[in-house]
Amino acid sequence: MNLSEFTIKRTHKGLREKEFSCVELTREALKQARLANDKLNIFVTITSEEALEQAAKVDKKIQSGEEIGILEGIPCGIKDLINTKGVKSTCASKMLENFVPPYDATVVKKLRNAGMLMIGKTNLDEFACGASTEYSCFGPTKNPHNSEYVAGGSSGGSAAAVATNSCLYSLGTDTGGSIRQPASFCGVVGLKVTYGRVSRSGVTAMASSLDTIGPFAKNVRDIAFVLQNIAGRDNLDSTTPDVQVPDYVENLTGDIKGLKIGVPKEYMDENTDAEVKESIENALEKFEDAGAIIEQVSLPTTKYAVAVYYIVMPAELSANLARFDGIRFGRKPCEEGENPEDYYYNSRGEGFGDEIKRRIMMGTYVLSAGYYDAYYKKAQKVRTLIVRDFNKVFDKVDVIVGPTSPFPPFKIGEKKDDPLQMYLADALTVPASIAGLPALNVPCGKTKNGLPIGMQIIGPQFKEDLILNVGHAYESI
Amino acid sequence: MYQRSLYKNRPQKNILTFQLFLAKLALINSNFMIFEEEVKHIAKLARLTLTEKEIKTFSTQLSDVLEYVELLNSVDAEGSLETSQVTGLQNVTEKDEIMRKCDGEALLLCSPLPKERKQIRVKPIIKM
Repeated sequence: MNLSEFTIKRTHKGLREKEFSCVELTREALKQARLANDKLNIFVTITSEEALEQAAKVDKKIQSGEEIGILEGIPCGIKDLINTKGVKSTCASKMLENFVPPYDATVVKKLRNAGMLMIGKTNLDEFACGASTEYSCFGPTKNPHNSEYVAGGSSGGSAAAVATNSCLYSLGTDTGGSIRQPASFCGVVGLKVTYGRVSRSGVTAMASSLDTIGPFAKNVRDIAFVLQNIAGRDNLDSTTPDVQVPDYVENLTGDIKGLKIGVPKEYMDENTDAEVKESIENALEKFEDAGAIIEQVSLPTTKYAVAVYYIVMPAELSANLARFDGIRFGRKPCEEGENPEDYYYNSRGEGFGDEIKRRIMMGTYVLSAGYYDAYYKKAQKVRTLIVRDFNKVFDKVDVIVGPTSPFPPFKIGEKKDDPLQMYLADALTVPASIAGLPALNVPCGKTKNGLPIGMQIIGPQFKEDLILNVGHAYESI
Repeated sequence: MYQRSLYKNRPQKNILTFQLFLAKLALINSNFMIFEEEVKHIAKLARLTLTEKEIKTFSTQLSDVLEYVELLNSVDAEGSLETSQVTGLQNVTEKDEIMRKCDGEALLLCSPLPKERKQIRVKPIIKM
C-alpha cells in the first residue's frame, strides 16, 4: 500500500470495495507518521490506540454491508490547539502541556459524526503565534522537502503531516496565514475559510476578529469533502452567520471560461522573490489557456496590512490569553508565591514562551491608556481601507490570484530571533485575513533547490465554492 | 495577455532588510523608544514575570515592531469608520437555555490546584 498515491476519494473507494481493510490502512498511516515524526517532528501526540479502535469499528461496518461516509475511516491529523476530548491539547505551550480537554471542539464533533479517524495531534507555533513552527515548546517542525528548512507556520505540523502521507487530510487554523503559508511551504493544498464559515467553539482563541479553521489535503477535491463536513452555523459560536452551505464537491466543474482573475501588482512587486513570481506567471498563463481573463489590479493598502495586523492581533491576543492564570487550567508554577497575584506572575512567566510574551506585551501596550487611539483605533480605521480596497477590486474581477508567500521556505533559525522579519513573512496572507476573505493555497511549482512554491486564490466572502473551483481547474490543466 | 513583470530577470534587492535598516536609523533619531522601564511596566500590567535578560531583549524587539507600525501614521484614515468585525453580524442572541458541553466535575479536573467541596483551593486573597 503506497499512501502517496492515495486521495480521500481513492481511499474511500478502496475501503468500500474491500481492496484493503481500514485497520491495514491505519497501520500504514501510523507507520508513516512515526517515521516522518522521528525525522521532522510533526506530531505532539500520536493516537495509535484510538485510531486502531476506530479502524476496527469501520471495518465491522463495511463487513456487515453498511454504507460508509466519505470521511469515514480516513486517517487525519488535528492541530494541537483544537480540543479533542480525552486527548491532550497542548497549544504547543508549556502553559498547557498537560491539558486534557473535557469536551470536543465543534469541528471535531462534526468530524467524529462523519467517522473521523484521528492518528494524531499536530505541532504548531505556541498558541498559533508564528510563521515557521519554530516557536513550539516541542521544537520546530522541519520541511518534508528539505529538513534544513522550516515547514512554515503556525500550522506547520498539519501541513507536513499531509505532505509526508502520515494522513490524508488535517485541520489547521489561519489567523494571518497559518494555513496558507505552511501549505505553500510544504507543497499541499490548504484553505483559509471566510471569517465565520467554520465554528471555532472549543478551539483556543488567538485573535477573535481574525481566527478561522480550515483543512489541508493533497488536492482541492479532498479539501471540498472536508469543508462540506465542517462548515455552517453553530449556536456555540455566535460569529457563524446563517449563510447557506453549498455543495462544494458538486461545484467542482473545472470550468473557468470567461472567469476574471485579478493579479494585484503589489503582490508581484520587487518585494516578491523572482522564482516565486515566475511560478505565478506560469500559472496565470495556464489559466489564460483555460479561458480565464487575466488583468492587473491594484490593492494600494497592501503595504499597511502587516502593520494593521500586528496591532489588532496582539491586542485581541493579549485579552484572550489573559484567561491563562494557572488556576482553572494552565501551569502550576514551581514557585507558587504568597498570594494569587504572585501565582499569576509565576504561572504566566514560566508557562509562556518568548513570542507569546512579546505579543501579550505588544497588545497590552497598544490597548493601554494614552496609546489606544494612536495605535488600536488607527489600525481599525486603516483596516476599513483595506476592506474597501478588496471590495473595489471584486467589483471588477471574480477572484484574485497571487503568491501565498513573498519568498520560498527559509532556513531553520534564519528569522527566529528577529520577530519583525518573521512578521513580514505574512505580508501577502494578512490582507485577506484582515478583510475576512476565503483564500486557498495551491502548489504551483518548485524553486531550483526543490522547495515548493504556492499560489493564493482569494475570493469574496463565502465564495469558497468559487475559489475551490478555480483551484480545481488549475489542478486539471 | 498578462504582462510578465519587468523585474523578472533583475537581481533581487533585499528590500525588507533595507526597510528594517531605515526603521532602525529612524529609531536612533527619534525620541520614541520603549525603554526598559516601560517594558517592566507593561509586563506588570500583563502579569508576566520577566528575567533581566528578557527585559533587555524585549526592549529592542518591541521597539523595532512599534517603529515599524508607525508606518500607519502616513495613512490618511480621517473620516473612515473603525472595523472591528467583518461579516456584518449584529446583536446575535441565543435562547436563555443552559447548554452543557461537559459536567462541572470534568471542568474541575482541568485545574492543577487542589479541589475541595467542588471548588478550587487558591492562595489567600485577604490576610487575616
